[in-house]
Amino acid sequence: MLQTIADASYDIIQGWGGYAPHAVCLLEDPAIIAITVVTNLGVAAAYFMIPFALWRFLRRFETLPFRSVLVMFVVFILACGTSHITKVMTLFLGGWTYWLDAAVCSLTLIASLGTAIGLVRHGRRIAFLTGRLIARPA
Amino acid sequence: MTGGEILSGYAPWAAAVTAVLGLGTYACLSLWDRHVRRDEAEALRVVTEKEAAACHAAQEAALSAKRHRALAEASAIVLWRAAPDGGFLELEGWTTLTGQSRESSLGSGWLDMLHPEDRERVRTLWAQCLAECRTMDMEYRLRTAGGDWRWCRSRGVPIGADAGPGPDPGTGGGRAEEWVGVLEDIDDRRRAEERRLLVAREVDHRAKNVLAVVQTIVRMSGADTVKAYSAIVQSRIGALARAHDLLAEGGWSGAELRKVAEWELLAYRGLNDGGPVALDGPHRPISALAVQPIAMVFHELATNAAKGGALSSPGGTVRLTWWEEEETLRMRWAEAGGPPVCGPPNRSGFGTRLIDATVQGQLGGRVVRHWEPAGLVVELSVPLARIVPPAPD
Repeated sequence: MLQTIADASYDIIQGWGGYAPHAVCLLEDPAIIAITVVTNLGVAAAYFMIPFALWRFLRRFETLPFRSVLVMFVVFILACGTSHITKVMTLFLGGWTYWLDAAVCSLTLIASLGTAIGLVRHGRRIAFLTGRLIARPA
Repeated sequence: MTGGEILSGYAPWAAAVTAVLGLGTYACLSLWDRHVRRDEAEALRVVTEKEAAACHAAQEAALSAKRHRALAEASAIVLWRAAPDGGFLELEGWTTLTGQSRESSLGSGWLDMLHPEDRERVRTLWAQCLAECRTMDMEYRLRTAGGDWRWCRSRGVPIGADAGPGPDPGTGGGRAEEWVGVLEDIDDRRRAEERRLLVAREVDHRAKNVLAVVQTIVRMSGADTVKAYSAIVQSRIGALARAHDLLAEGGWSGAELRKVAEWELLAYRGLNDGGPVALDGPHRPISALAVQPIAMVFHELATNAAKGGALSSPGGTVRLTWWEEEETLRMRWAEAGGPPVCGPPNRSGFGTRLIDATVQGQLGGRVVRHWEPAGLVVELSVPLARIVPPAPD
């Protein structure tokens, strides 16, 4: 029993941590690695700035109708930004970072799909109601 | 490993990952859905409230505007609007009132419909109000569509950011963006004022006259005893008072000759037609100015008759008749059944002198006395022009 668990743990650690860093796949080409690193970090920086700005906006604007739309955007963009960070991590660390990347990508998928479907479903109604809310009295 | 084997090896993983991610997406979506629904209900509530409030406010504003308009229309015949430079932009009701076309009334065209005597004054005053930006209030005569002049009152207030009508409009100093105003018809009021002024002057004049007559009565009445003197003066002033009452009753617009005679001869006429005095004549309204002298004449005639004429004895009668001949009113006072008459008396009393003075001096007429044996007959003739009331306008 103990042997089984030990074998499984070894397999998992070996299997999960055994991947080579992604840079290896790119033949350690400094140019392509540099581009990958810089673009991913840049995009991540931008993606982290957007939720920060949205968060400030939400705190200032307490009576904003349909706040949850913006909250959803915050979550979705945070996940996106994080996935770009994990991409860079897989480049050099390999092993468990691929699983981290997979997890973050899953979250990103859920958040972005949810946001997309939700907007498609409610977008028109939200726009209509918000329009009436902020309309000036005739 | 073949491609098929690779695919069959991935398939369960792909299915598992898809299922997990699908479930996760579904969970996330339903969580968010709940939020959106809640927000939606809240927004709908706010929107409904807001729109109801806006609708109410709009209705209130419309009602308020309507109220103001109705108020303005109720008191005004023309509602006007003018530019800051004084040019009129709109004169609602002006065309109906004056007959001037809309195009020619705009700007300063409306001044053409004013009375020439008022025009310059109004132009100056309007320019002054414009310059000082204060409430305008003026009265002038206006030619109506019917061609007659009517007194109107025009009032206007400046409207603007720093102009009236604030809590204290008309203080001036600001700058008007527009002027609004109303035109009221005050013709009736003006005419009533003029009439009141006329009556006040008339009453004043008449009071002086009456006092003069009273002075004469007091000075010239003669009697042997104080008691008799007081009685004579009292009866004469009483006659004056009755004439005054008659005038007051008719609103100082004159009286009817029969009525004047009835009032003055009331004491002698008895309760019915069987009394000693008989009156006979056509309906003859006389002017306020003539009531008092004629009343005094009747009073003096009756007093003389009571002192020594037909009315001094129980069987005596007096017949007062009047008729019109050409432009003269003729009155005949015929006494009968009194003590025998033997010619004119040696001295004429105050009454006789008063009759002569009144008829000849005040009324421009003539007095003829016939001392007939049956009794005294006095014939009076007065030009109608002096006693008829002025024709109503």
